[in-house]
Amino acid sequence: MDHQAAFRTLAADAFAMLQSGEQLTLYLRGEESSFIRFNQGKVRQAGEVRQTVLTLRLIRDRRQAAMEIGLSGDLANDRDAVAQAVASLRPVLPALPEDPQLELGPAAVLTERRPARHPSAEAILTELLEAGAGLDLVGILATGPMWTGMCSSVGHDYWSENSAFNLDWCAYCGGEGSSLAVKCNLAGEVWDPEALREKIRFVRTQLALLARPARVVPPGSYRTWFEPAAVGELLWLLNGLEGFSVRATRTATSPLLQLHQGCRTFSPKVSLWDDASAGVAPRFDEEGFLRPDSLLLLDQGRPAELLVSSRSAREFGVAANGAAVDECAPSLLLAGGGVASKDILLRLNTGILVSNLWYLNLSDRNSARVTGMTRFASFWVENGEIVCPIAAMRLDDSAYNLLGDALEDLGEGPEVQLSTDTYFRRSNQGVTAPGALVSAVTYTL
Amino acid sequence: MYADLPSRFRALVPACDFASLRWVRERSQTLTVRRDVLLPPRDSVDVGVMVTVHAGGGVGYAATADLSDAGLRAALHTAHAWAESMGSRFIFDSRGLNPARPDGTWESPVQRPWHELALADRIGLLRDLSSRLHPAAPAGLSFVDWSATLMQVDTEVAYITPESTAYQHFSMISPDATTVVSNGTESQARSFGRGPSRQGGVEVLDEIGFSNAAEWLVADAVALIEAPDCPSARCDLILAPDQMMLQIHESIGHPLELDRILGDERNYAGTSFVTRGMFGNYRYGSELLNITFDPGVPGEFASYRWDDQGTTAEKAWLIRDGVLQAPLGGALSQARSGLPGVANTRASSWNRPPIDRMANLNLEPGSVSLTQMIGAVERGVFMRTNRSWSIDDRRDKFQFGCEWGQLIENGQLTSVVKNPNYRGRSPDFWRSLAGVGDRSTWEVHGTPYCGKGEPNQLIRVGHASPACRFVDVDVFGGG
Repeated sequence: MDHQAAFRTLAADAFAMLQSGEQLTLYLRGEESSFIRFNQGKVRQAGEVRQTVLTLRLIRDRRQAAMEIGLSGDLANDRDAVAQAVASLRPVLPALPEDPQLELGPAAVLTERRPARHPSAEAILTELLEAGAGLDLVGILATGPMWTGMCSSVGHDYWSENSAFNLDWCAYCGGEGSSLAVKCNLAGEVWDPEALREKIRFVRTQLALLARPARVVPPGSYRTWFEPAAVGELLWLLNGLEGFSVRATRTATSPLLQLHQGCRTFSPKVSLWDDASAGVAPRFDEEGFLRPDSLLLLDQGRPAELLVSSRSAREFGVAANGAAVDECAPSLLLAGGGVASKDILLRLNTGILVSNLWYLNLSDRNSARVTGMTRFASFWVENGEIVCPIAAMRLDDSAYNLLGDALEDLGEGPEVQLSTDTYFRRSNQGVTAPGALVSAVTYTL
Repeated sequence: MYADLPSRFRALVPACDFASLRWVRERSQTLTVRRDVLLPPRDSVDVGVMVTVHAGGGVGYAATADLSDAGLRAALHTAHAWAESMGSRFIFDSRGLNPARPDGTWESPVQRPWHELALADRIGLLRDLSSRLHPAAPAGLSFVDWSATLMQVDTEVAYITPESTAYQHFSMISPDATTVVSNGTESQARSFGRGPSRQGGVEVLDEIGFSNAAEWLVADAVALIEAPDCPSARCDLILAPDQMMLQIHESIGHPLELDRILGDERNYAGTSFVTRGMFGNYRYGSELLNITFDPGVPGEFASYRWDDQGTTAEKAWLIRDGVLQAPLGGALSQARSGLPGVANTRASSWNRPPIDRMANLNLEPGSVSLTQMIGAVERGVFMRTNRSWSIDDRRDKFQFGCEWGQLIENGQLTSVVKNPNYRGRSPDFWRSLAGVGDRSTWEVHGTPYCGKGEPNQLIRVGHASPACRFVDVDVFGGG
């Protein structure tokens, strides 16, 4: 029995247990993942993880309680586990107050299934190690199917299933403690061996540049090109800290409050969407709401839609738009600009090329001031040519400067970056972003 | 479910160099009241096993929630196949290892079990706290967001080898409360923080004063929104234990992790400015700096008897009188590096393989009271409760921010300042340590959220520390 069929069987059993007046929603997330971790071009850890977590939400008289249980994959055992969960939730409800923010999305049916179109983990690793022979490679390969389902006793029937790979690695130069490395990622649903070979060629070119003596650039303000991965990191920070959340905006806790209050704007070059077609995230959430195909969050530098979860919809009297309870966009898309790849160094002229940003956080939430470190292959550039790598630097500047007053232009080709996050389970989120040319960035350490 | 697992596992182990099974059952409950509305209570029950097989020079693992004989057999087969197929490519040869085979039981100290506090009483506690987090605000201000949370976790772990079984039972509580005040254009938050996360039962809530937190949180938040920004200066800095937790964690704990030094984390969490040649001779901090790995502090969040590879945990000095002594490295990392270490090979759950982690990493108390410490400062800032943290991949250049700041002028605490931040470089900072508080200033803290590893793992750590004074630190405010 496939995963969807098993889920529907469990659901049918669970719904049959309900008593008069009860409603039940089921939200399922599962994966069969292979993980190979490597260091110095050799395997550090290798294995598989099979896990499926089911969240049951029992509702009665506008009261609700939820329980997460791990499923074993054995249908008889899992039926018992579901029955026990429902039975344990039932006596909890009378002890709870009514939930004024309880709301389920309109019932609908949706199935998305995309079969695996990539080789096994072992085959991908072999290709990497052969192509990268002689390199100090470190990173992780994660592959395998993931599935998400949601159904309810009031008619929701959603399913999303795909199989993706995420090969995230670096090639280092220098000895113990060196930070000089080229960061690469290949991720998606269709494996392209030539794309890997192209990455390896790029790595070898960059390593030759990293072998030059590194420069310690003193703190100050510098013209900077941020590669797409660095821009993606900045967008994830603003998104993850509820920059586009209606709840955070209404409670004055959003780091972009000044933007939403009309006091500040980003550059007119900045248009941002939650784009459901990007990435591999499911189109539905735990409460049964469907995400729109595309939701405009920033329109030429000005605020557009906010992410509204079902709870916020009830709390603030606005319409829900499919946002999950955290009100973070799972698939950000930043529109491209006018900097062609071949012109990046010429347009930068003299300044810093930042390949990656690391450990971003807020220095001051009220002014959207962000701090973080440059990481991996970041270079000092003079007169349109790379001179040498730089020692890691700390930037500390406002997002209203980085994406606003000082933003000269964006790269013309946004790059898709699937999340490498594997906390608890493999992420299905992603960001699509171009690089960014910023005329003045403040570096402090 | 657990009782017959050792015998069933042993009957199924294939021919190999070594095999182990780590069974984890974790039950948790999260209750949150936000803006006086109870969010849907969420319970969790998660059970599974991680099977590890050493064969052909490699190590393979398989994690499954199917605990039937068929499920265990399949997991052992999978782990064995990974070990065999990858053995020749491994970064170490597992045939040279001598895995631990521990026997015994251990459990967290609990005076009053969680179940003795009825669900209605837990909710009542949170609703009462929530109602007091937003009193009538002074003119021009309003409380815009507030919440109170209780997370309780009950974790059982059994580490089973063909010859032994070690069983541990952890009971943990992690409370939090926050209130946010706004003047319409900016806001300031004051939070209890996750710092008081502890092992134990309901008694922990009384020990940390959770139910009485609302009044000081409210008063602090109002004081902050009306305060000027922290000035920019190079001056003395005194950190309260709830910020020392973060300082120790980021700029001592992570750089001493041996797997980072060995390069395993270079693609994600990063490497370290510490290298293998520094142990035994490197001056990490001033002579006042004494850091211990101490798994035996009663109630501290990451206390345990054995790590997740079965090594017995004992107190060890990692930095003594400011000089680096030993890394945070478990048995495997010790074998790979030739360095001494501690029992800190840990996994976040059954679905992740263990790696070098912090556990209880503590700064030993000194000899001065907080009053004496403040009295020694002519010009400085006192900061408490972390709100922002950022450090480079070598754990050197850091910038941390706190919720609460207060100026120190001529030996006295004076004006409140908002948005206090400070930055520096790890070795320089620890060498500027000029005062270590005595036992009266020493507090036990912990957090459930230390992230590291590929695949990623969030793990619980404990940090106990006194208040500490540093000199000539770069401090600044917001804006």
